[in-house]
Amino acid sequence: MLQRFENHGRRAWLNEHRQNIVNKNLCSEADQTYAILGKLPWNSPQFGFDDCKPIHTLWRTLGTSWMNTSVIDAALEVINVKADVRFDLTSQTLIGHSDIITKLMFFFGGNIEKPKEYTSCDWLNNIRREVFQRGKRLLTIAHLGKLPAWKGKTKGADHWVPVGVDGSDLTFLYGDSMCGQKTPVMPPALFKAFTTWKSYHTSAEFTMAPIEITQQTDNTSCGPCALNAINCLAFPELDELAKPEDIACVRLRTLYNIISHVIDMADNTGISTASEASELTNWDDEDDESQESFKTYLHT
Amino acid sequence: MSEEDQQVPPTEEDVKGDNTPINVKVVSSSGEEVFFKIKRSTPLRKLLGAYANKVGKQEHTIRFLYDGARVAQTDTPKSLEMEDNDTIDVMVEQVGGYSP
Repeated sequence: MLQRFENHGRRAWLNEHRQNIVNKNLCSEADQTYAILGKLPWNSPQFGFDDCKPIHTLWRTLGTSWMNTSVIDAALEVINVKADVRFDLTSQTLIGHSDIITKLMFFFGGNIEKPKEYTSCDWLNNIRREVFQRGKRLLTIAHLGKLPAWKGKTKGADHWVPVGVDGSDLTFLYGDSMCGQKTPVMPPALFKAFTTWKSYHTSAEFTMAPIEITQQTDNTSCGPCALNAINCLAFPELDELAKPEDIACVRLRTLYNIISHVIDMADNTGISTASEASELTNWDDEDDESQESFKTYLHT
Repeated sequence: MSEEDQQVPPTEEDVKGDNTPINVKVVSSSGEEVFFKIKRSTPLRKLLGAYANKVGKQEHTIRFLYDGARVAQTDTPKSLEMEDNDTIDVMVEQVGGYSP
């Protein structure tokens, strides 16, 4: 077990940052995350989240792992909860999960639009009312894996990007942690999905607006960069864009916030979480199938 | 598009009390539909397993979305207040980091 863990390097990664004497902020984040990991059993359900997956499924937040939908959506949900307690934000901003974009792409991103199926999708219609009728700003994260012709390529990239639709400013929002100094360009299929969705509900003209985002310097950090960008957009007075070298802090803070929310929810519902604290060494043993598929994924 | 009636195996609870089956439409992210008949008390993880088996996918690579919310393993049609002919969306678990 330990050997497998060391292979994936998450404990070593966390301990390395806990001992970082140069970057005190990173060291502190690592210490806090390490401490909060010890408050929950590693297989404890994620109380407060729709699917209640075990805590250990969050392993992709640590190290240099690519983030998956579950982690991205859990982190977005935490941001949404944070926004929910502030009336000034909830009256303006809606933080949605990544499936919103998947459904919009299905309804409007292809060659054939599917208005009938869209109309029967009640939850998406609730969101469009908030955006196009009440003028809220929808913020979420999209996965570009299924979007062709990105940056002139014919095959989609496995890439998370922050996106949004602002019903008040009449803008489509888009950021890209890999665009360098250039203005980010929304993939055509996503742009088509947004414009078609908009055209069903308003004749107003929407323009493009960039989302400020840290430019990643590796091939693993688009998920944390996108989460950081959404956080900064939602809470400009609280959060600031991370420097590329501080992306590890974003990962640690993301995990800390999710687990902190789980503990809060467990406390609120009177559920005990103190049975067996997390053994970090167990984090290599979870989700083995996912791990395998992830390795396969990387090599294909 | 495939349309079939599938029967998820009944649990012990199914035989107790009023547990009328409902029809559920499971729709993939590319629009393919599979129809299931399921008891109201049957955990939806069983439906996920049956669906994954039907379409030849591994369970951990997909997840269910009902009414815009992710479905937990312990959720049942009853706990989610599902009605006959309701739709469940299938979402594929994506990973991303950026690979040039």
